[in-house]
Amino acid sequence: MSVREAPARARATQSGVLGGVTSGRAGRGGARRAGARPARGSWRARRGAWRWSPALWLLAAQLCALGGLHVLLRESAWWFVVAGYALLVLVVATLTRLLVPVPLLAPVLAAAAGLGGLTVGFAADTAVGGLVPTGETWDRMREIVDSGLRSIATQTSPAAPEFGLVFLVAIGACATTILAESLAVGMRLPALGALPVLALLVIPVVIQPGSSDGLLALLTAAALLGLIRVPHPPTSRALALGLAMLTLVGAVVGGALIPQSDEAGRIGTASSANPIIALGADLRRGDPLPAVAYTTTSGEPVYLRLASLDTFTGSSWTPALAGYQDGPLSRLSAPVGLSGAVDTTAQRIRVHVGQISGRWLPVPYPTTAIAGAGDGWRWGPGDLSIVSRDNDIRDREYTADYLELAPTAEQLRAATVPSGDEAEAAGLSAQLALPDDVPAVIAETAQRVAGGESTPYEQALALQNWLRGPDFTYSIDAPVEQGYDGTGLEVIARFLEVRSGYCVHFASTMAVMARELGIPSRVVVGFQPGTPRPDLGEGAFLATTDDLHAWPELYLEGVGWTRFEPTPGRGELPPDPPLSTDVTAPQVPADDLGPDAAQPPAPVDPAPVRDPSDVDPGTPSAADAAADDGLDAARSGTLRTLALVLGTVLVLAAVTPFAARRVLRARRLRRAARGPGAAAAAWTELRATVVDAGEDAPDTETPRAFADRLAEERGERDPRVDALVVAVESLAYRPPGSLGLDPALVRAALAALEARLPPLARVRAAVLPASLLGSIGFGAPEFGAPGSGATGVGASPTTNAEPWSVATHAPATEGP
Amino acid sequence: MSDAAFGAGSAPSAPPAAEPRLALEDVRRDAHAVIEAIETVIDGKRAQIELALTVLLAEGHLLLEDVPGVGKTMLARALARATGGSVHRIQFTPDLLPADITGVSVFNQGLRDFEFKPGPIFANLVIGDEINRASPKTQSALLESMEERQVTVDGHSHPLPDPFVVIATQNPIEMQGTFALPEAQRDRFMARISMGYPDAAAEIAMLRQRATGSPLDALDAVVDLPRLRAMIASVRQVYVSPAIESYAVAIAAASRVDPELRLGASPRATLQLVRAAKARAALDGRDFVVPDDLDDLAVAVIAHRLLAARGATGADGEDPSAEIVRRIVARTAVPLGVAERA
Repeated sequence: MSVREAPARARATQSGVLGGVTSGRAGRGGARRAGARPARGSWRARRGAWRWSPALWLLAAQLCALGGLHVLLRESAWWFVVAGYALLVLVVATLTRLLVPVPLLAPVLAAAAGLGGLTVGFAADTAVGGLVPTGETWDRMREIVDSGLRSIATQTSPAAPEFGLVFLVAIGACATTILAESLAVGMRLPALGALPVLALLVIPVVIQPGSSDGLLALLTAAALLGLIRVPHPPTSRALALGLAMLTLVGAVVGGALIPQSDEAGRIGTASSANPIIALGADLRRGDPLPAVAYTTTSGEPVYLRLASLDTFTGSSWTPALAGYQDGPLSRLSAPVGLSGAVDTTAQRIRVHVGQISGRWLPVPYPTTAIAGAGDGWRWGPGDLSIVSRDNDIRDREYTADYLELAPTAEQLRAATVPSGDEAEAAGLSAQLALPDDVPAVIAETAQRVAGGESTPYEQALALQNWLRGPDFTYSIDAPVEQGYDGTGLEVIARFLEVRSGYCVHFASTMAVMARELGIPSRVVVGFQPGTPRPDLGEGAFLATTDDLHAWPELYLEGVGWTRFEPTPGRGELPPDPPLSTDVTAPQVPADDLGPDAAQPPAPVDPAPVRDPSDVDPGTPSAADAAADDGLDAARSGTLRTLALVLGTVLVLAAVTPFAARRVLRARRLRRAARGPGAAAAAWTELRATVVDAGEDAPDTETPRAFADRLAEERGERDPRVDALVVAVESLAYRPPGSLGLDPALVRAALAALEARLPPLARVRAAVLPASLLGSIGFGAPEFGAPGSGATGVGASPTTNAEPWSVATHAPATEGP
Repeated sequence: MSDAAFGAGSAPSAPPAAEPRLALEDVRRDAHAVIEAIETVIDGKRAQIELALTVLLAEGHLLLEDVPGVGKTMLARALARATGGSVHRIQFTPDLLPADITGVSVFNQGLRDFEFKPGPIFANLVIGDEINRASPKTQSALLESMEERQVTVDGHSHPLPDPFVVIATQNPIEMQGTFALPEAQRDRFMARISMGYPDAAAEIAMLRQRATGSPLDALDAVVDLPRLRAMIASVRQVYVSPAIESYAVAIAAASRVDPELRLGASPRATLQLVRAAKARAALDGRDFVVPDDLDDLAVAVIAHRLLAARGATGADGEDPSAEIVRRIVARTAVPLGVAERA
């Protein structure tokens, strides 16, 4: 029998069959099937068994859980990035599962996709073609991870979504998604698959108790319930329900019960082993925290030093902790290099540290004694910084005696610097040391800018003024975006090229250039004087985390360590009294130094440089706005790239199932046109079409049982489907003869099945064909292997306990 | 209904080619004529009538498990009458002996030799009423005859008529004084069905019918015995595709590993399921078996052979086996072909 004869023959000789299918069996067969198989609900009721469901529920849960991190991370751009990564790995895993049903392949490929995506997004310049990671990529990623870990350790929540931090969250999103997908979809344990998602949800509770977003926790839990609602063993459902409830309660209620963590309010500069790296993060925080409130007996604001970084390794500045000593703070050593010729005034400062954590005690320079800070501190005789391994500065109140220095311009000009041996003798060799591989550009620039000056002080001024000059701009973000954040030599060289950065860059650049010129130097991290806050007390000043700052101190024999301010006015904070060479005597040198020194702050960068006392704390400055603009622009640049990539992924993800389904259908129709397996191919395609529509078509159902059920549910038989049933049966169960099916017959039946769907459902069936994910995807056995059919159809026959007692008979279509 | 009507047709093992055959359309038409004829006697029991005829055409035996008075005997007699066969009824009692069924050799004075007096088993349709009341010894005699389709007495084999169908009845609720059929013997019945009570309309119709006399008397043979034999021969020719074979095997195999069963389906069950399916296909006028035939027959053919695990209970006090078979069928994938991939 040829392909095209099949239906004809069926009609001609198999009127019994056809009659049976079309009418005679409608009642009996349908009723018997109903008796022989579990009762089924209506088509609509079964839509729940939609096979994309697990992946989609999981995605929803992941997106909500990631969204829940907003209590820890500022703004929202990061969410799109990490959500994109979660989507990427989920899509890859899902597609892998449907294309190649090898159990372990999906997570492996998803992990590879996640890695590739992270490479593209975070370290594209190190990768081959922007995608394939190289050894350099690993190094870069390790750096980013390190900076991310530092961010975690040092930032207050909500933290600025730093590069490294977002990277870590993206890794977490990928990992939890892969894990959850493997468990929920791969191993069909949706309850266990919920766990990684819940882990994400719990993060805010752990890090900042009481901070979790109840609504998003609720939404996540709802999505997880949706995930575990998808058909699966009942024990799993109970377990998952319990877990979901537990987590919900834990996240929403429990969060409030957990005691506040001491980590809240930690600032990087105050605690980090290398405070300078974290400084940028603190500055980018956006929403400043009050850090230190103080009053001075002089009534003047002061710079408060945290750490002094004396050692330069070529890649970073570190404190010279080795020389620190234990002991009471009641009597600190005299400041190094200060001669009696310089006028000093003893002053006292009363400091109240706010809700920030840290190991370094903010004090002015030079401090001579501290009272009320408690025990357990170590202090450096050379730099007079105070640090502790165990203490936290949070909420401490103490007073410090310090000296207000007033060197004259002559004293400054006359000051010399110790040369090699003298420095050695004075213990200043570390502050002069430079690595061997200092880029030539640094030395050349130093010589060009300041080589012509006659005294060390004038050289320092030249450097300072040049850095404050119009060539340089202040930007918190440019270095981060262009990948030269930090203090290393390469960074400095790059900074000299780009000429955009923030205090860390200006300070370290000036310090290194000073060393090139033979002037001992170090970088100090601390607070700018802050703003007057009469509301906090008479003569009170408040330094916030936005006042965190880094500046160079240069050593001038006779005057000692002298602060310079090479950073063009940043943010809200006026750097400093013009040309001040000393903490509290700005005017003296300015008056004496003539035009080149007297003017610097005002002409160079008038707008941002303001006296602290003039600042209206409520009004953001122009520079502030500019910085914010730059921040936003730069960030949106990165995000635009990522959005483009993720958008492409999204479009591909949307189109792929559709295309895959079309390919499958074409393949099955081809096979249906010629044996072997023609009947199975045609019928599998029909079942797949039904499943695509969100309905059920188990492989345990015979063709005519399916047709009967369809007719029962629709109230009428569809001749096209019945014709296909007859043709398929005759191909599958008749003596060999016919070779295939008429494709037109198959197409007609498929069209009949699709035509009854509402338009929206038809679109969904086309775009998200559920059959791809089920047992009739690419890897399905095309022949319905016997014994393999335990597809988990619910097994509780309820109606028509005895099939033979069915009382209705439809009259036979044909008489004897 | 004469005993002489039983014929000595060809043995079941004879080559099918030697038998007259009918076109399946004729088989279908005749079978439906028989069914409709019987329906004039028994109202509202079409499914049971169909199954009884299916078993008859498939050369099997039928186990009727139901309470007395629901028409078991009537069904058997009507079937015999409509097909032109002979029918004997044996009431099984505890004192029934094997010879009471198979027949005895008695000494014929005239011939001066032993002469075999056939027992009541020599009929086309034998109704074994309350088979579980007889002693196991007597049961065995019946069941051996069922399997071998011949009776051996004093070394002489006496073939049973063709067709030969035993319709045994069991009373499931009467427990005292019964010897329940062991599994091995239940296995010899091709199918087990229960008649069930008629619905109200059918019962009223029955009352009116019986008021005037037995409707059985008005029942004429629709087909004669040679025609019936030809129908049976045609049923043997119904095609069973490899896919159907593997489906039947898969169902049986599933029953053997089912945790709710202590004893699964025997290979004989698989064989009889396929045979019954062929008859059913023929009743539909099909010359090939479709999986639906197996699905529809599975409970009747398989359930009575199974031993449910302790604790398994059926819905409404029904035999749990039936439910288990239904579940197994519902969970077994329907093959549409046999993989021929190299």
